[in-house]
Amino acid sequence: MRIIYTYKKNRYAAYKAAYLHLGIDINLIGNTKDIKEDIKPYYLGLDKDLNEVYISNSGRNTNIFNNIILGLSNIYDEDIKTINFN
Amino acid sequence: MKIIYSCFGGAHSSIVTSGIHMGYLPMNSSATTEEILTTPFYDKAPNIEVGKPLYMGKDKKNYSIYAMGMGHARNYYTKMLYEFYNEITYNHKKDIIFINVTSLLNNYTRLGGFMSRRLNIVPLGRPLTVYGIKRNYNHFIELVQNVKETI
Repeated sequence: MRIIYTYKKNRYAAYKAAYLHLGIDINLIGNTKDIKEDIKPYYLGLDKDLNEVYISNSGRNTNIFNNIILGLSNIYDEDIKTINFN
Repeated sequence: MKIIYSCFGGAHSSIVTSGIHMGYLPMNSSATTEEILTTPFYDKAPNIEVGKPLYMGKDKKNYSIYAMGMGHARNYYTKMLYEFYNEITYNHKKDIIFINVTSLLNNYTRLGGFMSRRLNIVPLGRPLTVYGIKRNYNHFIELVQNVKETI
């Protein structure tokens, strides 16, 4: 399963949630404004249950982002979950 | 191979283009109002479902055809989807193409789509979208012919 933490403006909240999910020290996040933003969901690591954890900017519309990702997951029979932090 | 036609709301231009590709709409002549209105999913997608790929069927080459709305940020979401697709299918043959058909829209279809889908004035908006589609129908045919020849 793939879990994507998405953000629109509150990048720090999404990073914090993802770091907590992976059990990484949240002090390592640093200043999220300095993080270079990728268009694709950025792979952060594997959690204890071997789920892949990603982080991504949801773009202008979170609802469309969710629909697109879930649509792609249906087409390719992948299990993807999105968690939004707007 | 999967071919996804994308537009703003996934209710008109992408549906018509995929309908022509699938053979639901004529490729040699202009479509009638009834033919356009009876295309599957035409003027049906609600705002909350923008972004969901609508499966239109399989064409003669066994390619799966989809229509999809991507809102204002089509370029961003298209790039993001290609990148994420590469991420999740790293061991598969690349088999997906996104085709943006928004450039084929005219202001009649834009206004009609806004009235029908956003303002919910369907009796006024839907005929306006059909009028706009019929005016640009040749361009839709050209695009589908081009896609079929190149893919």
